[in-house]
Amino acid sequence: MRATFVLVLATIAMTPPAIATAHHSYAAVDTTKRATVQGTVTTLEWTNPHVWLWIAVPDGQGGTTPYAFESLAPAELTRFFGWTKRALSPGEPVTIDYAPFRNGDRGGALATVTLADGRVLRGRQVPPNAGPRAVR
Amino acid sequence: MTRAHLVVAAVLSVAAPVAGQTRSAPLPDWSGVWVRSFEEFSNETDRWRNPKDPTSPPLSAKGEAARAASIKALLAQRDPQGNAPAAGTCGVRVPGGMPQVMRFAFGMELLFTPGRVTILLEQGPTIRRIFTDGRPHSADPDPTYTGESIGRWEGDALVVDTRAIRAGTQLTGGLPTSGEARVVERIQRTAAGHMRIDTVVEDPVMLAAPWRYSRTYQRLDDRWYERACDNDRDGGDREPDLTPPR
Repeated sequence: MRATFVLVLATIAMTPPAIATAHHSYAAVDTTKRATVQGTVTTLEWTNPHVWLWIAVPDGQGGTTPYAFESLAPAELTRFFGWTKRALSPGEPVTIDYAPFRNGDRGGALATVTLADGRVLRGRQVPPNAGPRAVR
Repeated sequence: MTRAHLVVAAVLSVAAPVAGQTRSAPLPDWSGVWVRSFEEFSNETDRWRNPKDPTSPPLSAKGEAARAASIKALLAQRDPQGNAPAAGTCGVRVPGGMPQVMRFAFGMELLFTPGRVTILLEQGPTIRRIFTDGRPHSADPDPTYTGESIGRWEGDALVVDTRAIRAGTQLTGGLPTSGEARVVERIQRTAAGHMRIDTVVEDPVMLAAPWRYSRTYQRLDDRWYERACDNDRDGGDREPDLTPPR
């Protein structure tokens, strides 16, 4: 796993409620809310326009329920947040901090992924000081 | 091959330029991937969501009405033509265009060839052709999403005048152009690895005054990312399609 993962030391600023001004306006999620859930990674969809992270969350009855989290584009996650397509592996335990879908669907906009060793991957909502890397 | 053959070949290779090209002026090398900071992009997005922010487009009454109608359509999960957004195409049936396509925090390459600058944008993906061979704008151009761009050098700055932008192309998210938009960009290297683009957008129908903004870019040692929308689960602000991946 790459050493360029970004540690988030400060509380992540919440974005204000969205107004639809683009085709991805966060309208489907309630950015005034924040939720946390634990599970294991099933799939990292390394796709456009946005990456989706799927995890399996124990349902308390011996099974699991799928949760889906939308993040940014592969280019943005790589350049600005230190991800790669292999940043998360199936079966890996994670804790997800997210803004939930308004309609009650399980998941939402990915804020952070906390790995078992404590490292944090930032997702979609934007903390300060997120600048490009490797400037020459 | 004899020595004489080699000399002849060398002379020919220097003396026979490719048709239409000139060897006199060295072409600039701006190679690399140019990207805005994500923070700058994100801050701009937040500011422009507030129509009263001084950096937001100075809308005319028609512009305000057009933007309100566009947002209403988006919230109703319709594209500007009233159709349901298409899945898998980022929710739109039309390509990105000028000037909206320039605003994203995605990669951009600038290629210099004689008489022309080509800008490749990950967003879209989009190709912009800027002619620097001295030609004027066309008398009766076909309006397109990227418009017709004519460039000239003012010192080290490339000044690009884009007209013939197809009506409905986005000025910025939710704000369509009228068909009379004109975009003038001043593209300039400011330091090693840094570039600034100062832009003036005019649209006598949608804007009450010229709209000016500046953006900065940094050159990254980076690869090029494809941006084909093949997993558009909530484009156009649909309810998300949460069919699990297979």
